[in-house]
Amino acid sequence: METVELSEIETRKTAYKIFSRLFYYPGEEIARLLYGGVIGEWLEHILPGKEAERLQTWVASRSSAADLLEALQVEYTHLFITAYPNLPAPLYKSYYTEKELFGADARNLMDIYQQYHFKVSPHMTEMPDHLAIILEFIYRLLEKEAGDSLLKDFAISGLTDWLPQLAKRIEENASLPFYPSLIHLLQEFIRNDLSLQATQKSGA
Amino acid sequence: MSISRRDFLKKTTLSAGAFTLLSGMKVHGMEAIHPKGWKGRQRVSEIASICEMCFWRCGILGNVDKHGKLLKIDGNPEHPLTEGRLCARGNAGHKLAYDPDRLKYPLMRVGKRGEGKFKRVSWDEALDFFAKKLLEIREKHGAEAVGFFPHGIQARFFEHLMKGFGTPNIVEPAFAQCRGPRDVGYKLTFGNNVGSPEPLDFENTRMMVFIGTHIGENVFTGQNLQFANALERGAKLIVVDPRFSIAAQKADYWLPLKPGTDTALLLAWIHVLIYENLYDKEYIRKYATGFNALKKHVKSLTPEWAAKITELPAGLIRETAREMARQIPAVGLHPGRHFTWYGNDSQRGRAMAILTALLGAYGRKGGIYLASPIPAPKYPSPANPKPAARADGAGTVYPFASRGLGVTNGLVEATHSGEPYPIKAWIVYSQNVLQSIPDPWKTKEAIEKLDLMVVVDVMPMEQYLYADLVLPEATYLERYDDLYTVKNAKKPFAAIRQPVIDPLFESKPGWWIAREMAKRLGLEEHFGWEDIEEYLDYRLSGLGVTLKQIQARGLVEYDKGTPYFDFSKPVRFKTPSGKIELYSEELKRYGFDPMPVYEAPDEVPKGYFRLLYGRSPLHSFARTQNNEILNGYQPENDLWINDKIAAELGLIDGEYVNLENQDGMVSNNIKLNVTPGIRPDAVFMVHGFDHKSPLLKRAYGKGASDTYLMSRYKVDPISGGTGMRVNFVRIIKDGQPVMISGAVSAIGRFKSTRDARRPVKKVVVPRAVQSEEDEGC
Repeated sequence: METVELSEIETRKTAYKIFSRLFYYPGEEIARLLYGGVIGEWLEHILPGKEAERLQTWVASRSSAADLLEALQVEYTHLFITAYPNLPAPLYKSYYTEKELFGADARNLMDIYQQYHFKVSPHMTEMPDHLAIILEFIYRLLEKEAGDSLLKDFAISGLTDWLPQLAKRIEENASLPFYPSLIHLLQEFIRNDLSLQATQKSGA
Repeated sequence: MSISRRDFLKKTTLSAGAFTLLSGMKVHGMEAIHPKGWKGRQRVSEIASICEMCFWRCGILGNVDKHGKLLKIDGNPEHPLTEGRLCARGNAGHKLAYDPDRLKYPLMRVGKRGEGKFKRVSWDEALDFFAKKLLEIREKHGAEAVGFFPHGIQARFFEHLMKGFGTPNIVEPAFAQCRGPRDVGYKLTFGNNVGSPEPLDFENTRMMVFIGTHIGENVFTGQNLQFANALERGAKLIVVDPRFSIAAQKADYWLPLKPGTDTALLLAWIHVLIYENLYDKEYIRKYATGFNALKKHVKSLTPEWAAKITELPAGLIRETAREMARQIPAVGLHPGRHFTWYGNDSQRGRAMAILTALLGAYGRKGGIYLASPIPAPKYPSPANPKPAARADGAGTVYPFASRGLGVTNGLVEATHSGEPYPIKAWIVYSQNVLQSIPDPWKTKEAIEKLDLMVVVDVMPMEQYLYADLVLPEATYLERYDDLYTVKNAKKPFAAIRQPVIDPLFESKPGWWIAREMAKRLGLEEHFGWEDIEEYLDYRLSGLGVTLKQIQARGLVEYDKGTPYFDFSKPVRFKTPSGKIELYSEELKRYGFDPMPVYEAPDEVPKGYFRLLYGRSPLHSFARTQNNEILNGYQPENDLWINDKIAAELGLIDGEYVNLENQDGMVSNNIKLNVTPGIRPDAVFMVHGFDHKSPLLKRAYGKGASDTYLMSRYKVDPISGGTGMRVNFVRIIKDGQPVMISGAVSAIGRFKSTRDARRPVKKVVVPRAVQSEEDEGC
């Protein structure tokens, strides 16, 4: 089988992009890529271990991409949009830090986006501090190859401080293994990425 | 970790196919901006609009920061009724927009009804489904099988759609759970509804009379302002209320009558005015009909007769009637708002209207002024199909019910029983049908019988759990609505609601939802406008302005001269006789009493209290309890209970109890407010608490719900309004009923606090009915 070896920057970009897509509301394309094993293959490469395996095993157990999509949409709605009796895990940073939508954190992020010449698309219906948008921003920074110096500080303050709370809520409320595995994988990836950047910066 | 940090990312290989697919994957949430290009909204802007935290629709100015975040809301000083004032709810409005619990996306039910399991869907998917179901129902059962429950001006576009679709079954609680019987009573008498805001000329009044109206707690900012100014100016005030309300604290006379006996008091007042020859004779002679019949009718209805019924001193009844007469015609008898109390409420409305007429106060300075219709033309639209007969009884079972607003409880009943024909779908739009209509258990049973239940709302209110489809409406701060025309103002005006901020998430304005549905239902021609701006421009053309011209100020006035009758010209009332009808042939024709007759309410069973309810200045209906700021100020309601009764029962101020009604329905915990300011035979709570939707995180399960203690209601046969003060409760403490051992008598003198213009320090405890010798306050 023909293979492609990714450069470090390519891998990082791809990772943030894929994680971003996976935390947006699932659509047909993502279901197809998941069901076809493409994303699972990549996750197992980049983050080998039981979480990637668990995620891929569950995806493979679905009867079709359409079946997978339906299950993911219902689960996403239940975990992140609305659920009875309680909405478990909204994907907005200011929900955890301020108990409000579009809080100060969201607006600070807008300033940061603008500082790096990005803005949330007018067509986007999510908040600026939605996890998927934050991840997309990092991807776009990396794509511009302008993000390395910013990434560490930004990622620590703007991303990781609320992910443990989010992860806990996802774990406690998920009815499928997909999102618990995904949030674990994301956290692991960020930990590794930050560690790598720190190591490189120190010249080790 | 299975991989060392140093090796992390160094060995990533993918199959060529996977690489192609993954690298081709796009994300669309962000876009680049030119370094010298877009800088966002750089300055704070102030946008004029109108509030929707209650139905009063005060003028607001939204302050928006450079990020597009609404930071705060101020009152619009240009607004003719509120002059820049804004209540706590209006000030807290931005928290509605940013409430984490708000509805964000269209949702389709995937679990059982009531299970609360949904899937996010696109607007196209949602509206296609909605339209398909409506067309199927119309094909199979007729358009009339669709019931529409709207509330507020935002629902007008959808109401227009529903009329075009062909259903006659459009019902609002504003009639049958609120003002309906009042408007019927006044219309039968004067030929006109009172309308909203009530056109009271407090600017010139010398006497204000409130029958259960609790301005101060029931906050309508403009009316509060006028009320306060009138008091300051020296106008007198009579308050009739079993409770020592905020208004009662300002009164010259507080009449804490026995609940349900208001009509007896009104008839006795009428008796005094007529038999002491104190009424406005000239006004009645020229403009009224039926005076002699009325005079005969009230002959025996003396203050002494009423005293036994109302438990008010006869002397006090007589004295207050004389006080009113001294101020003729500048008497502002407030028609009230929430009027559906005991099931004979249209006749109470009639008694109030007749009293107003005897005082010569209708269409007169200092009384009730006249509305001035505003020339805002309707956008041209094809004729609607002729609808089938209504299912809710408006115009038939309830002959004087509004066909425009309908009878909500009538439609619930029809859905429940399948009579006169099956109702298959409900569209609930900004209404909370389980907290506004009594007997919510029946409402739930009716919902279970539906093929389709669609909820359009901003917040996940109770009925959301039973919906097949949920459509998230943009908040009032994020949308245009239809033009708000205020004819009941001394200087009438039209105000615009316009977006202060962009709609969050995938919420959409009501006009957009209605128009998109129209496309799917083949009703595009009913929404022939280019865009909402063009629609509003058309409506404003009658006032000679464009939308653009009034956007900064938010409104345009329409001065039509004096709002009083011109008695130099013939005056014709819009009644069958052309006169004020003290005696109603219309009522007689339908088998009702042509003049108000007092009907005694059911007595309070031993060990129970009559359940009274009202409003708080911090909340509107059951709509605002989840608001962060308002919930912070008032997270729960409390239960007013008379202090002597509480002492006898061993109940302590601040402790929590439950209430059980006459049918065994038990409330959530509610905190006791032990006070001398309520009669011993009644308890009182603010309406709208104990939300049953857990998705309203702040409001869920806080306080007690009055509606869920209303397993009974008594329908007014004239208007269809639901009398809801017919339920009785007893106190449950530690799981056991707390019983009253003996009757505690009611009434005492009231000492006015208004002269001191300071908070009340001492309230005189209501005690026994006073004899004639004890009269005077």
